[in-house]
Amino acid sequence: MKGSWRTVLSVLASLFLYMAFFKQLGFILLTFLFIFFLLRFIGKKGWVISISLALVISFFSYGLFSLLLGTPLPKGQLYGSAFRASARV
Amino acid sequence: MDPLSGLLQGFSTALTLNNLFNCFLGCFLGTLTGVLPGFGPGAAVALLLPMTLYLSPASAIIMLAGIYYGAMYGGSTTSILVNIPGEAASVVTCFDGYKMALQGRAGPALGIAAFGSFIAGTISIIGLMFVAPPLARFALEFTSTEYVSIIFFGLTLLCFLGSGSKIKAFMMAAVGILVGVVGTDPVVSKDRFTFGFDFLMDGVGLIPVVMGLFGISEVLLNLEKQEFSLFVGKIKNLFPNLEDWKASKWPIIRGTVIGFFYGILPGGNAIISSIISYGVEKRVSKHPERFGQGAIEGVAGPESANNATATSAFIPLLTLGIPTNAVMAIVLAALMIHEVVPGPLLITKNPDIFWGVIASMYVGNVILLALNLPLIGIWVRLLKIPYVYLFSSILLFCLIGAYTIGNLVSDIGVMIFFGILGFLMKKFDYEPAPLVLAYILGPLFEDNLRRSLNISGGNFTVFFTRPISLVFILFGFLVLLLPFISRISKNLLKR
Repeated sequence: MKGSWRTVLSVLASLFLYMAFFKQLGFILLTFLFIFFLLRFIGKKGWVISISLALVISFFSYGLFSLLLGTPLPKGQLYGSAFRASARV
Repeated sequence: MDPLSGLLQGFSTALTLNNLFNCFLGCFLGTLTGVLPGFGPGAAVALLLPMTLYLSPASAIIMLAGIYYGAMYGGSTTSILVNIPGEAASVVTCFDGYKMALQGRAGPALGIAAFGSFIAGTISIIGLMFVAPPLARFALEFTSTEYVSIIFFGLTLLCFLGSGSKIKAFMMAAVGILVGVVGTDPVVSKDRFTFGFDFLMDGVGLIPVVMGLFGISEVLLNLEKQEFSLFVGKIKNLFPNLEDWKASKWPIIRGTVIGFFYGILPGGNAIISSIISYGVEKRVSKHPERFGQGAIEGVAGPESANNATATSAFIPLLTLGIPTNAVMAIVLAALMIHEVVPGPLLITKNPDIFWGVIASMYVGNVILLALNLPLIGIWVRLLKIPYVYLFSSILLFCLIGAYTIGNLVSDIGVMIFFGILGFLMKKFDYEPAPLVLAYILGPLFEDNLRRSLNISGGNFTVFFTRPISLVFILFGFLVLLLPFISRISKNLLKR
């Protein structure tokens, strides 16, 4: 990992994007993308490691915070519309 | 309640399986934050605050306290082994600790740091136990007028005690007060500095501010640097020999006393007490030239001092409800969340919290000694984890934590804002601690000021006619004038 201004700025950008899409994309998908970005493009880890770790972390943190501690994390509009559609049927 | 029966009651709280676990978890996480560079107790306590919502108030404080004094233990490990302070209060430990490690004496350095911390921690708890109850009884007579003067004194001292430039500390305190003013006016319910944003009407949240200033900004700072490389030789002889003990005996005691008193002062944090202890040891030593070349006194003194500070910092919080550093501010927030009002009545109204926390500190110090000496290898191995894993999880924790406090996306924005601010501040050598403290003390000051002026009918002389209030006001002005007085006296001496 090489430290530089560009690294700082891209991490900051990822934080802003995380905030911007928090409600829309939902916690699991967004966290997956966020961690994947950090591992693959900032940490320069391999594709397989980045994807699998991002998957584990996003589901694990969702389980810990939402299911175990009862924090209402956003499910995202993708899931939301699917739920609404199924509820109508 | 006399201290002994109080302590017995405290142990009945602290030794329940549940609280033992909380204490252990706090100490464990504290050591972890201490060991990991670029992640201090302020960020750790802020990150865990959302978790403590699910605990009883006593358990919450037991855990948060464990993180704070645990970090003081862990901080020395990184300083000694890699010459990078694991957290800010261990900066001075690098000077001699790393030199000792290079000379193959990493073991005794780590050992004396842990034992010194243990001794200092334990003595400070005894101090806390005997000082806090009488102080609280005395503080019962304080009205809002006295609080105004005490906080005024605190705010001035805060700038004076900063480790860097006093002017910069002063400026940061002003920014902190400004941030604290944002929100709805507590008396007439008018919006202040909200700029039409709805989310600012409740003010700027403490947790996003602290997470931004201590968590996000540290990550950004570290990202800009190159990753450090770790050279760890074999660590042997963790137990200091008789000669080491002889050399460290008095530094530990002096460090404890210095640390204890600095912890009580507002703005007097563990960083400063460790620096002062190092300076004192160098001055009283018969061989000051040995300092910086691997003198064990230079490890024993500061490491004891920072631990004593981490314990005694609880005295003003638990007796007056006034936090003296950023971590205490978060503990205060944790108490508020649980609707426990910290102040003179806390000891009598919530003895389970006060005595439970004290008893847990005794337990915690024993746990920490065990975590830091036999298990030192685990922490060393942790240092080899690539930074990318670490900062990814810190960032994610910050994002989730900021959101969970109020389920507001705007809090994430506030956190990122203060992350950038903190990053820039540290780049230009501005300390975030005065900002956070002033941000906490500002509204407290305003609240008490308006209340006491309401009672006095708008008469400002009350602050000078009540004796206790007058003393603190005078102390405050004395602190403000001290730099000028010392400059004038220096000039006079020159002539």
